[in-house]
Amino acid sequence: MSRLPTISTSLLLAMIVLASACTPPGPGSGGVPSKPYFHDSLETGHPGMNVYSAPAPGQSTVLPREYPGAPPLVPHDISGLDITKDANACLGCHSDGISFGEGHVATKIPPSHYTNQSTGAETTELQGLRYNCNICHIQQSEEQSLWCFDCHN
Amino acid sequence: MTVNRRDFIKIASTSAVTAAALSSGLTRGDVDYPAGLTWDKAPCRFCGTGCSVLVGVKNNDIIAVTGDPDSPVNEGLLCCKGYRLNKIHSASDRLKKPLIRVSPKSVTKDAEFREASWDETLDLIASKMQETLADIGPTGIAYYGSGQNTIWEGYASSKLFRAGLRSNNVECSARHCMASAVAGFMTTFGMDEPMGCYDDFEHADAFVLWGSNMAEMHPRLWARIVRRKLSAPTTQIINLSTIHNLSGEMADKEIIFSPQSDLAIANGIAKLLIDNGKIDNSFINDHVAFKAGKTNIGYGLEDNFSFQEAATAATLNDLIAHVASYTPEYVEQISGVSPADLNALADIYGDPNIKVMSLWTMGVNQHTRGTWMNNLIYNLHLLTGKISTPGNSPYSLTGQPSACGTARETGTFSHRLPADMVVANAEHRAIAEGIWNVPAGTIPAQPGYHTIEMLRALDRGDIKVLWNNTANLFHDSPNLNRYREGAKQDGAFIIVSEVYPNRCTEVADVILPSAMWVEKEGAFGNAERRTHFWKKMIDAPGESKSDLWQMVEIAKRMGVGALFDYDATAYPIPNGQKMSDASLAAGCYLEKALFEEYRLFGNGKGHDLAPFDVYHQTRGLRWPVVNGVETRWRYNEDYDPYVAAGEGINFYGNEANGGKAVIWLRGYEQPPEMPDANYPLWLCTGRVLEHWHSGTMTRRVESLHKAYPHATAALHPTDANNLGLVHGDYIRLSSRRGSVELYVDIDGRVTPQEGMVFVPWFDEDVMINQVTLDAYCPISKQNDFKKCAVKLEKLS
Repeated sequence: MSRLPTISTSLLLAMIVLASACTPPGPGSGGVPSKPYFHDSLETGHPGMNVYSAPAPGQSTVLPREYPGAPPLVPHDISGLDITKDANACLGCHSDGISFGEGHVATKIPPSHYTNQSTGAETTELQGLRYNCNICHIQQSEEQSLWCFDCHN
Repeated sequence: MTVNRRDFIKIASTSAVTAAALSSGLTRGDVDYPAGLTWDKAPCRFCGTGCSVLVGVKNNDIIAVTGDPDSPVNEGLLCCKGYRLNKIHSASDRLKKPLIRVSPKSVTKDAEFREASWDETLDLIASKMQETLADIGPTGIAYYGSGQNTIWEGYASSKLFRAGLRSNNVECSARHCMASAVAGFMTTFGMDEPMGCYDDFEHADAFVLWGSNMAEMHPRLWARIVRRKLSAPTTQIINLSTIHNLSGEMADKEIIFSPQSDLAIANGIAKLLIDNGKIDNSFINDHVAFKAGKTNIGYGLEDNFSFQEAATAATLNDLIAHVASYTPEYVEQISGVSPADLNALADIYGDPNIKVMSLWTMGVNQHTRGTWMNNLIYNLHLLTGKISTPGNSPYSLTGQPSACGTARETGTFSHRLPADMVVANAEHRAIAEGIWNVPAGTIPAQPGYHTIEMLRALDRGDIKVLWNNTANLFHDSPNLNRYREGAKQDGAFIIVSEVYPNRCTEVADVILPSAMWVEKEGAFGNAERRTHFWKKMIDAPGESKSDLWQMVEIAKRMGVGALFDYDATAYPIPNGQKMSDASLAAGCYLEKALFEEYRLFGNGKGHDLAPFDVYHQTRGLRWPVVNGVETRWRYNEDYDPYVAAGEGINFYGNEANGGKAVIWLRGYEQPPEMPDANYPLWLCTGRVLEHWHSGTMTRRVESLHKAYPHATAALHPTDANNLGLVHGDYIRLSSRRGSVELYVDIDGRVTPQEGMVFVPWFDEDVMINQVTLDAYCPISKQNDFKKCAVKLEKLS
């Protein structure tokens, strides 16, 4: 068995391939579609690095929600902001929605997060089911390579 | 009017029809939803947790999703993947027409396909199948599904292949997810799936994670553990792992052990329990038998490898002798775990006042001794009698949304039939042939190829036609360089049912565009025996068709369409319901007909399911469902109708040996490949929170892709320093089988132990399975993706 070639071409090439993949296959009617059906392959792929270079907390701007009810995205650097059994670093700013001036305001944790999920009772404690913010609220990297989400409905 | 949260819950709970059209808007919690959405429930289509989702639909599109407040599983919340379920179906490269390959098989880069009609494509498939049946026979064709098939798809695939095509080559990617769990349950309890349920999370005092990063892989279940921890501060979380991970951040104690040494740790705990007088002799006398099996059982590295267990009866004294060598010092030598930490674990299991949940997934299951590890964890619970009562629960978690409901329960493994029956058993075959109304002798007695042997058979040319469905076989499999070549041979005909192009469609001969999730009617079974249903809510795009429709059409062309003929008067299409393509083509309610037939296998045998319609009116029920009542703790008289009054505990899956569960004498054995001078590091592969498996869906969601764009190589800072590597260096990572290039990540969310590199497998640009080893547990045939030897080289 021969080995598959290893991944080696440049990031630029990979981005071109990725970009072209975002064009939907031609409509065709039994003929050969005008575009390849594959955005990539083992031969051309070049992975990237995950670069999280968002502004420090207090310096970022709120990102738009993806749809009504979508959990807000994290627009700022989270390195060193740990959630452990003893402390949740997110709460320092987001409990009260601290304002940092110049339009930078930490999104205040809404009442739903203090409401007991099973009884509906409102409390003063962040509910345990919501304690690990990172389960729902995800940070965004600087990634520029696009798959096909640019053409979403 | 604006509907508030309470009203919304009420509307969504209305049992007969959960859908509610709200013309004037909806408020739930803090959210105002757009007007005019129709809401209905569906289980999430990602992991095995089985969260219930409310799906807001308008104009044949999913506008919003939210957690289902009526679901006891997730209590109204989802995870970051679940909150993007409305984004996964509509990326621009969605496959919408059947495609037939034009370019030669050897070409995968920019492979060319032409669009074709369904008739032409299905006829081509049938002709290839007929050709292969004539040349090789039924063993030359194969179906490869997953725990992402719906219950009726899994059931139909098994019926089509075993009863229609006389082939037991019905296999699934769940083999690589929890076959070791199945083998563990069958060898210990004689019956598959957990005895406990998720209610255990609110009862346990201690949670011991055995190689399971629940914080990323089962986030909503993890949230229940966290809630328990925060509300009852004496609750203990112990993270036993080879890698520091997010679960460790919430743990009271994180114990890092050397790969494979969990076998020694479990035996070491058992020894301490015995030595310290912490075993429950009364429970053992009444409910436990002892057995020993073969040792030095191999690793399945060779083609045509076979293994047959030979069990011998044993005693408690034999177990005492067996664990005698596993002193804390010896365990430390193998595992690196200190005697103090081992004692701490033994204290938790041994304290009668601490209710313990042990939790595990891939660390234990993807293991060349995976069945043994499952047995060994049960041993701890059986020795202490901590089982089948609320909070005392050895808990095998599953990875896929219907690994249990479909793969395990309908039996889409090459050796299984529905309801824990197996093809090797003549009585079981006769039961299946009776229900399927086919002549005696139709189902072959010989099991089909399990996953790795199926790939090898394809490579050898013993399989000519392979149908990949709801799986990504040529991305997910180990030692891919060999097996992709097998798929690219001219003689191999690969059928791929898919929704997007991926590594599997690259090697396809035909591509069938599938309907996904709420584009069809479905049912899943989650990791607590909960069977839950959903209705079709939107139409699939273009000419996409449900996998069930595809199966029936192929059955017709193979001359066995009668397997799917049902009486339209018995199963009429209900008025006003959006029906699947499969039902519309059949002229009857096909999903209902299949499910009602499937129920016959398990009813009265401990696998009882409720009638079809009941599931559309509930958030699911946990089997066995007897007289309309679900079962939370099996084998326990207080909860399980199969246990007679006065019996207390009865492990009735092992009826033949008096209802006793089996403690197995299993020891430590080395893995097949360990780091050495040439390949000095361990490689462990795994998953990340934001991506589902091979990323075909989640990488097409912008926010998920941007949250975790690429697979990187996580290293311990000491190793990086020794190798002269820093965060962001570009490296080649190689094993004896292949290599990948990727970036070093030292600041990521996981930190492997020294001497190990961790790479997630979601990224099709970092095909880490070119590097992994195809070694498996000889009993379960599940591959070990957690251990092989690699080296790193810095590239410019």
